[in-house]
Amino acid sequence: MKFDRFDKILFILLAFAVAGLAVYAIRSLPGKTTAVDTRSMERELAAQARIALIDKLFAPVTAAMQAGQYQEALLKLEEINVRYPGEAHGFILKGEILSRLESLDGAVTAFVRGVKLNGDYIDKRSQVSRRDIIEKLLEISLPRAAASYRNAPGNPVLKAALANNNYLKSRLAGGCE
Amino acid sequence: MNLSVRRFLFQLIVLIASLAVLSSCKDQGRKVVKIGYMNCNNEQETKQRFVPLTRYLSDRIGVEFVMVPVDTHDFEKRFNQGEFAFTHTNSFIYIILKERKNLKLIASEKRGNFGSRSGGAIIARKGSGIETLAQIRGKKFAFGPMLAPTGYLAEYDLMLRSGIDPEKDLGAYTIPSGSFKHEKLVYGVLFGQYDVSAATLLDLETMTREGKITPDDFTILAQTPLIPYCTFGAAANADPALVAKVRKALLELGPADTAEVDGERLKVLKAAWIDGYEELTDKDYEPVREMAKRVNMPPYQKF
Repeated sequence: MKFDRFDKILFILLAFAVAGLAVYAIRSLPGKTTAVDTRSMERELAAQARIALIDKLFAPVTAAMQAGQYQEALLKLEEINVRYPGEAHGFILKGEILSRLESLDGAVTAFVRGVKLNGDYIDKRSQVSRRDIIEKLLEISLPRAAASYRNAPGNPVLKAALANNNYLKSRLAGGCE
Repeated sequence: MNLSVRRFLFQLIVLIASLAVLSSCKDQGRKVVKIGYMNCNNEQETKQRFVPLTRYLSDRIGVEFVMVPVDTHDFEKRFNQGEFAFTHTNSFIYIILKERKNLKLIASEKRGNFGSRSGGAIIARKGSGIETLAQIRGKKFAFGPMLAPTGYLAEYDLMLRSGIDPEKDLGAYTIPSGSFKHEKLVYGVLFGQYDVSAATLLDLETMTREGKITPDDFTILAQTPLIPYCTFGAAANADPALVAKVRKALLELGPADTAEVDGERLKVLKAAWIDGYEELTDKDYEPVREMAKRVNMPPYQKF
């Protein structure tokens, strides 16, 4: 096939167009990255806003906990839970308080409910992580729950308590909901 | 009356009589077992709470359980008279009946923050100037009902262990009259009728949840140890197989279980305001016994 001068001009123009498109595409890539960054930032902003809000909402509870007034802390938590029922942070704080009061089964149950609602509480990189507290609790509660269940394998309450302990253990090991 | 009408009437009577016999056979076929429920606040409330639970047990086990609401102070007498073979009481009545009549432990109720255990507190109104337990000397105090483990016994014991003799060191002490005594204690402190009072943690928790009080209104001066609370028991001569069935049914009772009462299907746990049942051992009730001994109350009372 022979190309005349007109064809060559067309090929040159086509090459310019393709090159132009390539340049345009390359230039547009950073734009896409910016969009991803923006979504990350939005998520981060939402997370920060949530942390700021729960810090403010649950401040009376944490203040009572820091003062060692655990019963007052539980009552204040009860009051807040009326307005924000089912909030994961409430369950996590309840778990912490009951853990300090050595009410182990109650603490494990509360942590399970909190972690099921929001996995951030078990994530070591999260600002709200309670991983260390849960690990320490399980060191004591899991062997107890396992021994109790071994002694009475037909007891559904002990079975449920052991299952709760194992659930937290599995989440600590990286298992998903 | 002609023959065919007579024959028809005769057949009708036979049919009705047969149905009546059959229906009574059905009732008689189920063994009837009575459960005595200790009234917490009043009889009406006890019935509302525990009729669905009683019906659930009947449905699960195939025995006709009948609920008998019993005033706390009459409980031992009526149990001794054989009015009921199964009991639902607080842990204090349980240890009395265990000691005197060898009551069998079936299961313990779970309710509130501490599951099958609960405690009591000594409270003052915030801003009253009473900030520590030592400051209750000479003050006007109110206890809950005398047979309440976390409204009387535990707080009385707590005071004794803290070097405060309620008989000598308080200005005066009283027990509110009538029903809803536990709530009256809390309101009594809030509205200044008493300087200080005993309060069960369960009541503080429930009243807070219901918006009746706010924790900011009160100072908790001291808190008692946690002890078992409401307890199901059975007479020593109760059929062991039936006791095992009741225990199993209680332990397996979950939030979704329902029972039909007066044509209405109700959630059993929700109606009874409880979270479930747990199998404790008699040894778990040892702290209640120790309290009763220190406070010199039944079944260890010495004169």
